[in-house]
Formats: sequence, structure tokens, C-alpha cells
Amino acid sequence: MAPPRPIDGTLLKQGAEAHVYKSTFLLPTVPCLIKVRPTKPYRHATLDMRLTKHRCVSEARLLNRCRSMGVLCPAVYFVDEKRGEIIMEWIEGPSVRDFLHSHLDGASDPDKEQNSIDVQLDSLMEAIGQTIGKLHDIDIIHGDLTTSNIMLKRRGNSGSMPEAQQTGPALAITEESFSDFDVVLIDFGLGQVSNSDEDKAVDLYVLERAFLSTHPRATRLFNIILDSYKRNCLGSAVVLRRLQEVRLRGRKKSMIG
Amino acid sequence: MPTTLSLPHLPSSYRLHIALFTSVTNAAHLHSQLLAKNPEYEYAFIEPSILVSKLQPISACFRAIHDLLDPDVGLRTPNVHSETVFSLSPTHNITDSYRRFGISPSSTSVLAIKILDTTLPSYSESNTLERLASIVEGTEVDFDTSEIRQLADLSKVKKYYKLKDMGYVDQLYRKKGRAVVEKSEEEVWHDLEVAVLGAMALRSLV
Repeated sequence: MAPPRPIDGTLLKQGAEAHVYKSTFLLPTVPCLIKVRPTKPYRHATLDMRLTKHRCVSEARLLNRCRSMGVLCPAVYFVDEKRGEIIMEWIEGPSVRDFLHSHLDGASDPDKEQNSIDVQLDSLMEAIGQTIGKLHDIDIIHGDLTTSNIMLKRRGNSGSMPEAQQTGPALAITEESFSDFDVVLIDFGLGQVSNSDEDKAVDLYVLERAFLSTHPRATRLFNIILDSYKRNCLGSAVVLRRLQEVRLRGRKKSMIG
Repeated sequence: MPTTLSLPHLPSSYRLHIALFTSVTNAAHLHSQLLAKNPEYEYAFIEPSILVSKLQPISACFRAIHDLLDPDVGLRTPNVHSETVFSLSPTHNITDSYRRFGISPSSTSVLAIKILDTTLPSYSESNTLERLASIVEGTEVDFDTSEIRQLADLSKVKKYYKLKDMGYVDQLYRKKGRAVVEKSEEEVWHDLEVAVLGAMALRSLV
């Protein structure tokens, strides 16, 4: 196992699996995120190395596949699988979790028109459903879809102009203030490639649980996501049928037999 | 003027000198000197038509220096400059990587990179820059992304980096008659840039 080395960057978060730093890649103008899976001293050294390497490699592959096939997620810049490091694109923006908290709790602010916020949130949920639909259409299972793992990134100036003319049935994001946000999925550490309805349904189920625990008013919002998923994802019918079953029994499939 | 920079996450003593030339007339000579392993010509000479962004060659240098300094990895080619050309490749085939990403006798433009450790006693910045400008016969242009995009040959880039799955989900939706958000030119370039960087980064994992 390669020895750990100090990372040149600001430590942002420290989870059970990885430490996350903000830094720059190659040029001072390119911000990046470094995800490091540190060694776990309580594990056998060989096992630890294999697990760290395997998880690092599979996450990097998944991110790359997802991004190049056209679903937004951080791009992979550099991988040092021996040290368990991935350098990836920096995504600037609030997580859906933070965003919902700031907006749904905005009721305490009497100046804001609750109605217009609702309309804007609806279009945002629409976009989230569409993004998850795309992800499942390229047979990627995120594995940990929570409101913290969905980010909202403000689109660059170059991207926002020509789209005004491009409105079709699948492009329901018409609300102006939200149309300049892109939905970006992060943290594919538990992800996998799979075309099974079960896995896709569990993905949605995990998101549902996360949504309902994020905010009491989120039930209605999650239904908009499901509805958008239904209309946008090509394989949605089977997955949604399977979701009904998953809801009854929970995430784990029955192990009898 | 050649661009000089040092990279974050690597020892700051390593410095890159990068210069982009167009209307190059002595590519065949440079190529033959490389084959003859003439130490005076030890540079990474890159074929600019396979580049889509400024980050791409710098990222290759990053990989090359990173592997040079990592005792567990080490170089797989004779020196850090050939390793830079090899690092542009998404595959492990060294000969192919030289042929596709390195200078060829018929090249008309070339990106020259010299990687130096400034702690070595032989290091002299002005000598390096002068030498760089003197061995390539051509017109030096700014090393920036807009110049590189003009020289890019996208069909070659897509073939070499195996990018046929790029934007797959949009193609799929179009085929099914769904409306798809059109991307701006800048977004398309950016997607291409990160797809190439990703292909280079994932090479080591194959």
C-alpha cells in the first residue's frame, strides 16, 4: 500500500468512507474536489488495500461513464487508485437538501410569495425527475440517492441563451429563475451499472425515504419527481410498478430460499 | 513567449515550459532526432490536432511527473517527456501512443513541452526557453485553449479517445422522438474536454 500523503487543500467533509478536500487542478483557475479514502487501521492491510482500490476505481469508472454519456456529475480529472484518491471537477452550488431547507422554511419570511416559490420548486423537482430518468436509461444505479447527493449548479452564461427557443414536451423547465440551474448528481461511491428494475426501484425508494425525512412538506414534491420520472424515463413503467413492491417490503429483497 | 508553470500537488521544483508552434517546417528533423535519442532534443513534442484544451497536455505532464516520483509506479517509457506523450493515450500501447499523440514527420504544428527539476544544478530557465524557441522552426502562437481548438481534428480525437458513447442519452432520446436540450458550442467543447481528461485519467485502471 502506498503511504498516505498530505493533501494540499481545504478539508471540507470527513465521512466514514472518505475525506473530501477542495483544491485546484493543474491551474489556479480550475477548482477541484479531492476524494481520499484513507486506510482503515483496523482492517487487514491486504484486504484494506484491495477494498480501497476497488471502491476508488469503480467510483471513477462510474463517474466517467455517467458524465460522458450525458448525465451531469463531476468529471474525473485524475485517479491515484493506490492511494485511494480521485481528483474530480468542482461542482459549485447548494445541495437540494440545503436548498429545500432555505426555501421551505422561507414561510417565516412574509415578504416572499409562497405561491411563486412553489411553482419554482415544482419545476426544479421536474428537472430532478428527468435527471434520474436519464441516469436509469443509461443503466446506472446511483445507490445513495439522497437530497444531499443532488446538487444544483448555476449554468454558465454561454449555456443559458439559446435554450429559450428550445421548448419541447420533455423540456418542462419554463420557470425562468430555476431554468439556469443544472441538476448534478454527486457521490457514486455506492453506485453500480445494472439494468434491473429492482435496483432502479430501490434507487427511487431510497430517494423517497430521504425526501420524506428532509422536510415535512416534501411529500408533494417527491410526487412531482416521480411524475416527471414517469414521463421522461424510457423504462419507467416497470420500475414504478416495482417501486410499489419495494415500498411494501423495504429496501432489502427477501432472502428466503 | 513559452508558458512556464508549476503544478499543484507536485513538488514546486518541477517546472513546465510549454510552447505552441504553427507553420512548422522541420517536423521531420525533430522526429528523426527523437528516434535517434539525441538528448539535445529531449522534449515532449505533441501533435496539436489531437488536443481539445490547454488542460489536456498539462494533465499528461501531471501524470508523467506523478508517476516518475511514485516509487510504486515509475515510468514505463525512457524519460518523463516520452511519458508525457504516452500519458495522453487512453490505452497502454506505447508505440501507438507515440504515433497518435506525438509529432510525426508530416506535422505542420507542434506543442513542445520541457519538464525540468529546478533543483538540479544544470537548470537554467533562460537557456531552456531560448533553446525551445530555436530548435522548432515555425511561428510561435499563444498556448491557450482558443488556439488549440483551431488546430483540433475532432474526428481523430473521438476515434483515439473512443468517445462514441459521448452524449449517448441524448442520442437515445432523439431516436425515440423526445425533445432534447441543445447544447451551446461552449458546452460541447467542455464536454469533450472532460471526456478526454477522463479517458486519460482512467487509463491506469484498465
